[in-house]
Amino acid sequence: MSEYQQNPGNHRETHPSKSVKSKLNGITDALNKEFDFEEIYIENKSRVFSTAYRFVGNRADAEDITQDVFVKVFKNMKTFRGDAAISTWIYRITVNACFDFLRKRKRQYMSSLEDCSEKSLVSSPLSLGKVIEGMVTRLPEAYRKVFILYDIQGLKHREIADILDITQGASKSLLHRARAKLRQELSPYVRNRHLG
Amino acid sequence: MLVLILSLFVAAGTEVTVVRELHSEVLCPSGRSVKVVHHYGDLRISGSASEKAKMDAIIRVTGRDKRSATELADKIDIGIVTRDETLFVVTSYPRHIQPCPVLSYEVDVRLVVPEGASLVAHNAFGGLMVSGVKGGCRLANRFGDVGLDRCQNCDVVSRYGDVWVWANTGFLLVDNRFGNVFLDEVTDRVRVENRYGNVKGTGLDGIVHLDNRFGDVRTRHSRGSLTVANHYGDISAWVEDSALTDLDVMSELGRVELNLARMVPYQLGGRTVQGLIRSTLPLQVDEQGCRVHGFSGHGGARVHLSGTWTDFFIQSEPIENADGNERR
Amino acid sequence: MKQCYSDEILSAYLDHDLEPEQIEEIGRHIEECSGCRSALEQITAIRDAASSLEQLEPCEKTWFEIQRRVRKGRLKRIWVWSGVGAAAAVVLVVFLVRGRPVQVPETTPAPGRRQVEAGLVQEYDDYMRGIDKAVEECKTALSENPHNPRVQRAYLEARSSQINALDVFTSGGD
Repeated sequence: MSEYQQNPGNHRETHPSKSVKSKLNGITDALNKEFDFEEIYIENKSRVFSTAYRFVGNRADAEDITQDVFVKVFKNMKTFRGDAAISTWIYRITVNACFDFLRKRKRQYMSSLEDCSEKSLVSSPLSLGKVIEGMVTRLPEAYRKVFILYDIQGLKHREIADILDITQGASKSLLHRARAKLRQELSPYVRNRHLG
Repeated sequence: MLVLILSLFVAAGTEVTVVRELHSEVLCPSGRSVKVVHHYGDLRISGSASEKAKMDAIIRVTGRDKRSATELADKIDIGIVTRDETLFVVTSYPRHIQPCPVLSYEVDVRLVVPEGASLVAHNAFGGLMVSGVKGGCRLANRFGDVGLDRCQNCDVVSRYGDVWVWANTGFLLVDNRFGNVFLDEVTDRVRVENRYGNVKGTGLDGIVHLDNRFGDVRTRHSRGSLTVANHYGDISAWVEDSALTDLDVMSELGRVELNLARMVPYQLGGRTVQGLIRSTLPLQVDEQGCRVHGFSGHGGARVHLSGTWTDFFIQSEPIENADGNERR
Repeated sequence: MKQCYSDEILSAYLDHDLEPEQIEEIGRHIEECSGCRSALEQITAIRDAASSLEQLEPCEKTWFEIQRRVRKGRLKRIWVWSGVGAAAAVVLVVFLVRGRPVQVPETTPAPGRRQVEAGLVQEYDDYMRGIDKAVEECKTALSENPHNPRVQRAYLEARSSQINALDVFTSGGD
């Protein structure tokens, strides 16, 4: 009987050493992390992109912000404590990323509508939704955040309070002021059209 | 028409950076070939429905003083010439540049070509990104990453950089060394030969052959026929889509993890020499752990495993790594 | 048209964010006051139009760009070059220095140890030649373009890979 047949386990001693295996496992672990990240991206990409688009008003910048958000998510996945829903955490990153982006650019973003002037609002058959999309970018920062998250993205005040680190009462108050401000901004549109 | 814009930065210390922009637009009827030769900078090429070729370039020169930096920036040129139905775009640097310790020059080029054009592009010391070119691409890059996005019929040779391919159709040949290859939603006929790096494929569909040495190979969500051969590295492969018809895994001196998703049928057979086969599934493994066969459901993917100096782990549950931590 | 309640109050009424008594009072008032009724209709329309805006999807290339940025920071070429090269070196060392001879059963034709060793040595030679070539190319580029950050980075990576691979080989894979 050969040595192999007597001791079938022995051949494994000539396999690559543990240090090589652990290095190679390190690559596989990193790739596993990427697969988890891919699932997180698929689940959250619409939320992030839509929110960013409503903040900055154009696709190109919203794409850039989306990339920034998910790169940050990837880098901080390990430190995420799980003390909030992952979507809440990602929303928080998104809102902060939007405002960082706007501050860096230091200019007021207009919507993707060609022209939000009163004349064009009256003459072109825009839906109210489109008009609101454009007007939102004119709202003060605090109003804009809550309006986008509540009325457009459909979050609850409890979630918004978590994301923005404010009270639920403050979230409600900001929302109502945002709507009031929008109604004021939309009054030229309203004068020449029926709403709804 | 070239529009030149000159701007000046005064960098820290004794360096001065001069920036110059070049813009050009020429007619490029469909069916033309486009050949681009570039180095010392990024090259981005995208396909469009227009029958024009548009070039935008930014030249940056850093030198000891403004005069010498400007002089060099003025001498750097991107020639755009049409000859024999081929549009040539060539970046040229002056031959004899005065050696200078702070000297740096680079040119980033953005080119838009008709999407039906057949493209040949060479670059070195910079990235090469091609998007939406459907007439066929032959790319060669050194010391930089290559990115292919929604292109058709591509042949990539790359050294000392990563190769990224997304949503390619037609054939794809990748010959890469000293870098990684990432494939995402690539379909039709694919052949990747990679050395000294890892290969990761997601959503591969068609007839796919991955050949790697000194690195790991990982594939998920594969469909069609997939062959993975790896030498001196690990393989992690999944059978999770009933559209995967064939999976051949060959390994030399490595470790293979094969994940068989529940409810996906398969027929499996395999053999390893100087290695062990282990399975948590009800497969037939011989006493010495060298041969395995089994099946689940009707039909399904034909899975064939072959290894030398390779251990195989076959399961459908999360796998424990060396540290005993569960990973998905 | 006169409006008795402010837009904020009417918005709060719409969302039931008021005390029940207030909600009841405003509800009665709206039936009689066309100004407030009109304002409430407009605020309702704003809310409804906003909530009916579609969720948008980023273009597919976004994921590609995210992956590229994420991997650029993480998979450093130095590690990959030297890591896999070091893996090759260790495998080679294990076989040449530490491996125990194993008899391959007659019934199983397979590449024997010597063949594997020879193959590994060849691979390692190829690897080192590739790294050496990279170093030379980068040196040539640096002589023309000494301060170019891409060339500098490529040179440093090539040199690190060269040193790491040799280091692993000479240290016996520890």
